[in-house]
Parts: sequence; C-alpha cells; structure tokens
Amino acid sequence: MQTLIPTLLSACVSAGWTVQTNADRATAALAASNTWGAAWSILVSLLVVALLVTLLGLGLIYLERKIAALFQSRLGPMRVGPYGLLQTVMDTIKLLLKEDIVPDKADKVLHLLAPAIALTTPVVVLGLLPYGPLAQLADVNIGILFISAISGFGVLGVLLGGWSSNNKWSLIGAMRAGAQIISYELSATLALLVVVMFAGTLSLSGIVESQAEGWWVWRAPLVGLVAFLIHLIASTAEINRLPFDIPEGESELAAGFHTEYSGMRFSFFFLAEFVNMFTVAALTTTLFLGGWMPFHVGEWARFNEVMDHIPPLVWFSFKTGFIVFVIMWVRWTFPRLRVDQLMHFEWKFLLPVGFANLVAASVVALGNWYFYPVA
Amino acid sequence: MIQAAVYTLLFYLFGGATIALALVTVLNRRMLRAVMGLMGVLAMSACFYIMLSAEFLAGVQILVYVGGIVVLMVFAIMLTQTVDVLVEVPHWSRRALAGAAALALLLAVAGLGAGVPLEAPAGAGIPEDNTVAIGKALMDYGPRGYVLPFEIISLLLLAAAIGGIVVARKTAPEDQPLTSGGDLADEGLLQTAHTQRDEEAWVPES
Amino acid sequence: MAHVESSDVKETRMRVAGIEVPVSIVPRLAKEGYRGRFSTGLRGLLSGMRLTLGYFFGPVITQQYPENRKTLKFPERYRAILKLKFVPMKEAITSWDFKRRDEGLPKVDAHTLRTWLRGYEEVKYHKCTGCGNCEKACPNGSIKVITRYGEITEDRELDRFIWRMDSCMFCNACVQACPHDALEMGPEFENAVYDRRLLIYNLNTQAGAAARFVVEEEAEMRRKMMAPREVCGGPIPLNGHYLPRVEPLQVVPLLDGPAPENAVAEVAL
Repeated sequence: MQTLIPTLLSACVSAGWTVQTNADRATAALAASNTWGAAWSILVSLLVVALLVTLLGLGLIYLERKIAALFQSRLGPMRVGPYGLLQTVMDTIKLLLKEDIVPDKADKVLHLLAPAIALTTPVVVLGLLPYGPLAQLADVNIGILFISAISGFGVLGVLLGGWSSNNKWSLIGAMRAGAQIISYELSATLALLVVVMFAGTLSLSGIVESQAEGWWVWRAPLVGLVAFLIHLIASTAEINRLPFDIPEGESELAAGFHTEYSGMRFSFFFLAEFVNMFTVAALTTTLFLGGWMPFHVGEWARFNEVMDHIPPLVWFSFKTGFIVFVIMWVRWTFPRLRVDQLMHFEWKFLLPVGFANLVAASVVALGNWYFYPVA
Repeated sequence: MIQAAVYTLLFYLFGGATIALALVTVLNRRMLRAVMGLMGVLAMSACFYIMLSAEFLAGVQILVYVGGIVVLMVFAIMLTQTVDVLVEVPHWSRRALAGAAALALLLAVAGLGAGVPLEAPAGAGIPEDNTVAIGKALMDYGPRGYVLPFEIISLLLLAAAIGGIVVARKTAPEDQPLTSGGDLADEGLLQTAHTQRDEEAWVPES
Repeated sequence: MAHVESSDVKETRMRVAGIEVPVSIVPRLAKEGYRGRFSTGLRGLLSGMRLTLGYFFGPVITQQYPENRKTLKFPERYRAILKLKFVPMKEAITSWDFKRRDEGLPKVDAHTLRTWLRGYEEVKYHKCTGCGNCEKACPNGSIKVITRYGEITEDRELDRFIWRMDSCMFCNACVQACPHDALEMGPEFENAVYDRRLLIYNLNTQAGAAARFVVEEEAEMRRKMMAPREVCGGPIPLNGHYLPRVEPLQVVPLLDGPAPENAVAEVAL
C-alpha cells in the first residue's frame, strides 16, 4: 500500500495506466509456485469484498435515510451516535438478534436459498468492478457479459423468496418482480452493448482504459447519452427501486416478496438491495462515466495532467456517489409505476429506443464519429 | 505444478458438485428444489467452461440457461402448481427398474467414452480472445463459417417470438372492452368489439 | 394542447329513459401527438426533480427537541393547553401565606404552594363571569363551570373552572364562544403526568367575580371578594359519567379549615 500513491503519480506522468488486479497477482504467484503468495492475494480479495459489503451496507443505508430526510425537509436519524451515524450499526444488531421466523408450510430449503442467492449476486459483481488501476480484484475478460449473467441470476432470488413464503401476496410480488427484472434486463443489456461496441472489448478494465480520451457519455455524440439514460433507467428497474418498486410495493403488498422474512434473512434481502444499488451505480459509472478514469478531454494535455492529480479512487467514488445520489433523488421524486405501466414503458418505449440507439451507435462506431476518434 | 494441483482440485470439486446437484434434480420430489438442482448443474457446467478457457461460452451459459431457461421453468412451475403437491412415491420394483436402466446407461456412456481420444485435434488452438473469435466465426461466410446456421437460428427465434405473441394475445369477446379503462382507454389502444348498438347509442335527436 | 371553444359545444335535447332532457355535446379533445406527450412527460419529470432538489438544499423544518427547549418558538395558532386570561394584580402569594401563619394554620411548604399554583406565582384575577357559554360550546363536555352566589356582588360568580385535559380535543370552540374574552389556548405542551387524575385542571386561581368588578374596590374588599382555589381540583364527571377505577380527587379547602388526610397536597408531582 505504501507504494500505491507514488506508483499512481508516476502513472499519471507517463499517461499510461497499467491495470493489475489481485487475480493477476494470485495467478502469477501460483505460476511461480508461490502458494502462500497466491493464498495471500486471494485472502486479501475476500477480505476486501467482505469489508466493502459491510461498509456499503452501513454507509449506504445511513446515507439513504439522511438523503431521503433532506429531500423531505427533515433531519433523519440524529439520536444514535453523533448525527445518527451509529443508527445502521444498531439496526444491524437488532436484525441479527431478531428471531428467524419461517412460516410453517414454507419450503425450508428454498426459504433459506432465496436470500442467499439475492445477496450473493451483487457481492460477486463487487469483486469484478474496477475501482482503480491497481485496485481491481479480478478482471475477467468477459467482464460485462459475466456481470449481465450474474444479474440475471438475481431474478431467482426474488422468485424463490416469494414462492417459498407460502403467501399469496408474496407470490404476486415475486411474479411481478420476475417479469419486471427479465424485461428490463433486455434494455440494460442493449445499452451496455453500445459501450461494448465503442470500446471493442468486454472486459471492464478494457472499457475503462478505452475512455482515456473522454467518457463515452459525451464522447459519442448523442448515442452515448441516450444509452446512459437507458442503462440508468433499466438498472433502476432491475434493482426494484422506485419508481419501479411494485414488487416491494411498500404500501401495496405489505412488503412484497420479502414479507415473510425476518431477522437475518430479511437483512440479507435488505443488504442485497443496497449493495445492488452500489453495483448498478458503479457499473453505470464504469461504462459511461469512465470508471476510475479522470476527466480527460482528448488532446488537451495540460488539462489532462491537471485532472490526473486527483487519484483514480477518488474519481471513482465521486462518480459512483453521484449516480447513487441520482438514484435516490429519483426515488424521492416520482410516484410508483403500476405494473402494467411498467411493462408498457419497457416493451413499447425503452426497448425500441434501445434498438434504434444500438443501430445508430453501430453506425457511429463504424464511422469513427466520436469527438476524439478512436485510433 | 501447484497450478496443476489447484486445477485438479477444482475439477474434482466441480465434478462432485455437478453429480450431487444432478442427483438432486432427478431424485427430489419437490419440483422447485429439482429446478434449483438443475440451476446448480448448469452453473457448474459454466465453471467447467471457464476451466477450459471458453469464457464467453461460460458467460452465455449462465445468461441464457440459468438466467433465461431456469427462470422460465420456475415461472411455469409457479403458475401451474400448488405448494405441497408431492409426486407419489413409486413402487419399489419401478424404482429398481429405473436404477438398473440408469446404471446400464452410465456403463454404456463410460464404455463408449473410454474409447474417445481426449486430446485436442491438431491445429485447433484456443484463440487468445475467444469472444472475438466466436464473433468472427459467426459472421464468416467462408467454408468454415457459421453465418448460415446463425441466420437460420435468427429466423427460428423470430418465428418463436411471433408464435408466442399469437398464442398469448387476448381477443375481446363481443360487447366487452379488453381492459377496464384506466389511462390506456383514452389512447385509442382500447380494443372493443364495435357493435351496431354502439354506433346508435348517442345519436342526438335533432 | 387542444382546448374546447364554447362555440364547439352543441346544445340539443335528447330522449333518455323516456324523458326529454337538455344535453350539451362537447367534442372530444384531440389526443396529443407522441412527440408532444414525450416532451410534456420529460419536462414534467425534470421539473419534479428540480423541485425536490430545491427541498434538498432548502431549510430543514425539524426541530430537535429537547435540545432546543430554551429557544422554542411556536406559531400563534398552536394549541396545547387551555388557560384563563389573567389580569395581573400585585397581590403577592407570600402575604396570603403569612396570613395563614398568623391565624395559626400550618404553613404550607413551598413545593406544595408551587404545585397548587402551577407557575402562577402572582395572584391573578380572571375575566370569567361564570356564564357557561364555553361549557355549552364544548363538543365533548371537557369544561365544567361551577358557580357560586357572591354576597358582595350579589350575582353569580365563578367558583371553579374545571377543564379536563384528558378529554379535551383543543378545538378552540370554548375560546371562540366566550363573550368576555376570558379564555385562551397556549403552547405549553409539557403536560405529561403519571396520574390521570392530575389531568383534571382547575383553571382559575381565585374564585370570585370577573376582574372588571374587582379592580375598582380597595384591597380589603378585594380580599373579601376572592378566595383562592387549587390547580387540579374537583371531582367532575365527564359528560355525567365517572371514570371507572379512578377515584375522584378530594377537594381541599385551602382557607376554610385544615386539610383532610388524603388531600391533593399529598400527591407528588
């Protein structure tokens, strides 16, 4: 870690970001028959993911409550700890100490499996995201495809949760959630295909590196922006957040598919929602806003140098934080979409626009009509 | 060397998990648990693909099989079943017959498979970036290309999509509107069966 | 968006269910085009987001009680307790207490005194004449005005003004009904007690005529006209019913004799 900052600064100067991930280090160690080194790299990765999940859970839930309060002209948690900072900690302890109630006729195995799948999905994605040139845990060369696939996995968590509760309303919530998620998966995938076309690679670090001349959201004229908006909207629907949270429907179906969950199992679903939100925001940032890439503008070398002085991790956090703020902002502004309005929006508006955008983007990519054309 | 040991360990791990999950799939009497076993088997297949350096295939396996087909099966089961319908327990003679058939099949496959050489054919290397290679092969209209099957499959999918829409479309019965109103009614998307009576209803007498 | 001109509306008569009725036929509004609806929708979404962002950076209206207790400010219209409006006069409570000592009555300790007078350290004169308008106006019978015949004024006088906070809904009807401007609602909301009986207030500190009849007399006459009364007194049934399992409070006559054993003064606050 001591070599991190100087390494970063020297990388700034040479304007060439070399990405090295923990998985690379582990592989290199194994190839050199250095088992302890490999084990150490793997252990560090696991610990970082665990730490990240904890911090995200505690931090994001607290932020959500505070930001929601400020949008509503109130203060949010203020009593537990200074400015309510310990609120989430206490909530976590409370949830852990709660009794784990499983309904009598519920399917015990599936009742346990559902929150496990729901939480595993975003946590796996956390390990794949590029947080910085030297701070990525694993870089699969099918990165985006893998993340799409794992997000598709998450549907099962919701469906099983609703089914295994042996509760009509949970089942309704689960079915709606299933329909919603698999529909919006399409639009999200179409939007990220645009970026894959621009960047020419599926791997996340490759996509980030390809934005060294400028972020795709502005560098590709109009199609980047449209794809960014489509991806943001579709991802908000994927994670069941307002205005698309009919499955949870807090005022409609009690709590939708996680009505019958309490204690640790509910905290899994709860945590999964917030880690998912972070994952989606981080993914949007990586694809469209440059990930950890500073705000470069093509050939303005002096400007780029100035921008390079801010560490990549700060860039990443700032951008992801901004997207998370936008997601929360949208949550506290708009009413909930009814389930048929939701489907109508996806299949009759978002998907055709996504297809048209894809075609236009392919034309832009072929003609190299970016603001700073790819070499 | 350590790498090879790790690979072997992972292989046996995934293999054992695949067998266990496959047994869950075929032996479990509750449908959804069986489907979960199937999901596990498919996910393990994806792991094998990764071990064989076919990452694209692994990603697509999870995306299509687990994220699509297993979800479809789960939907189908949820929409057509009540929770505690358990399959009836078959008679022991039927079970014995099934076990014998399975064993015979296993021996046959093992015997046939034992004679198959497991080395890769000469000249078939693993491309550096198999996504690009697969993409190029799909678009290749030369003799070793796959563009014709690709186009035929797209036609097939189109037919399936259209067929699905035709099968699932609702037609309005006579005198009944298709939806009960709401905000779609004003947009002209309301499909009502127009009758003579509708035309005459509000003609003012002037 | 299209709108309907009044010239487009046709007035005719129509036969509906066998009766001829006048009918106005209004043409259907033209449906906005796809692009129109898209731009309206988008503008609506963005303006909504701008509105909430304004609230995000705007002032927070939550007040952190009890940390801000010293600086609490309430709007004029906040109602949390009913009070009789008092005309301040300069009779000190200690002179009344000295009088009791002179007469050989046991000295009432300072705590009990404060309890009885609940923050009203000065003897204050009320404006209530005992007309009972507020009692009639109260929707759920939370006010009972007990009057007595005053020898000096030879007219009806207020004896006790019983107000039940446990049933009052702070509707302000009594304040509006009073013809003598004797009542007001104040914002003092810290009225929680551990004993339900203590929610039955006696709002007047002195029994006697309204202030405008008393202020003209000299001090000796004033003392004769008024008699002090305690806070939280009087066994007053709610709408004619007694509360089950709640014993009525004993009325403690302050100057008319020694206090009985189970008097209000024994209840700690």
